[in-house]
Amino acid sequence: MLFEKIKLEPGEEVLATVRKHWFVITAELFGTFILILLPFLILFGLALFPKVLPLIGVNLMEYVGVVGFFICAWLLLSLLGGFAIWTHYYLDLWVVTDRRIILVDQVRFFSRNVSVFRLERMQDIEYKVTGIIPTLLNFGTLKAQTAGAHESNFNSTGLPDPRGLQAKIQQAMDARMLALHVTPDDLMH
Amino acid sequence: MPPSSVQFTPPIESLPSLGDGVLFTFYAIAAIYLIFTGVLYYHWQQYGTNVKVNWITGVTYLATTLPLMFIMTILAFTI
Repeated sequence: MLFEKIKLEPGEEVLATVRKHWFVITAELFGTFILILLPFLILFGLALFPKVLPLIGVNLMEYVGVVGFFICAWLLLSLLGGFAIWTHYYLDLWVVTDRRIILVDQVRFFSRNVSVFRLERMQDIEYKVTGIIPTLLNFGTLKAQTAGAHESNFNSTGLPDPRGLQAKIQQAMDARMLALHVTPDDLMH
Repeated sequence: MPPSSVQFTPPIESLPSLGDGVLFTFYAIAAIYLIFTGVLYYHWQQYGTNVKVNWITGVTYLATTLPLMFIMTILAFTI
């Protein structure tokens, strides 16, 4: 399991585990749904216009087995695509602990980025909700910058309740600073 | 000299039949399916965070894809 691999530090507490908003996966799986429907739509079209195939000298009834085979093959490949989308969605996550943020980005099979950002080095967390659907469904982009010699940013799209997540990270950052007796100015030097 | 008889097109019997094409497609798809199943299992086993979700995903995967593979196997060997 993933949490055994991440290896939390002794006493480290997981505050939140966040995946992309359900709308993101629904929109992606909609394409798979259309692909699954496609052969049936074509058959429906042929049933509506039964004189089309005999015009080009094809009798579909002679090829029932072949057509059935290729429809099954099409459905199978579409389903494999759907399961790949689901896998990438589910294995892509944010883990916010009381000490760090762990970003797991499942780009595709066998391509996985895991980034760790310590809370005491975080700066400028901003969120952005752009568009009608993201505003109505409350999902958006969260962007943050870390301080230090090797500056790095992270930017994640399609996160649910970005304002709530920003607030949670901010609270965790403040608590961490307090625990370490660090002020934001100390990080600048 | 008599003109030599050269056949430019192969006899129709030597061309692969529709059944051969279906069988070849079946083997290719079966190989893709097996490899994909292994890759999917590996990823969920390694990186899954919830045993229940892993289980539901696995059962749904097998319940939706195995019947299709079964039908394809029957059709591929009967056409």
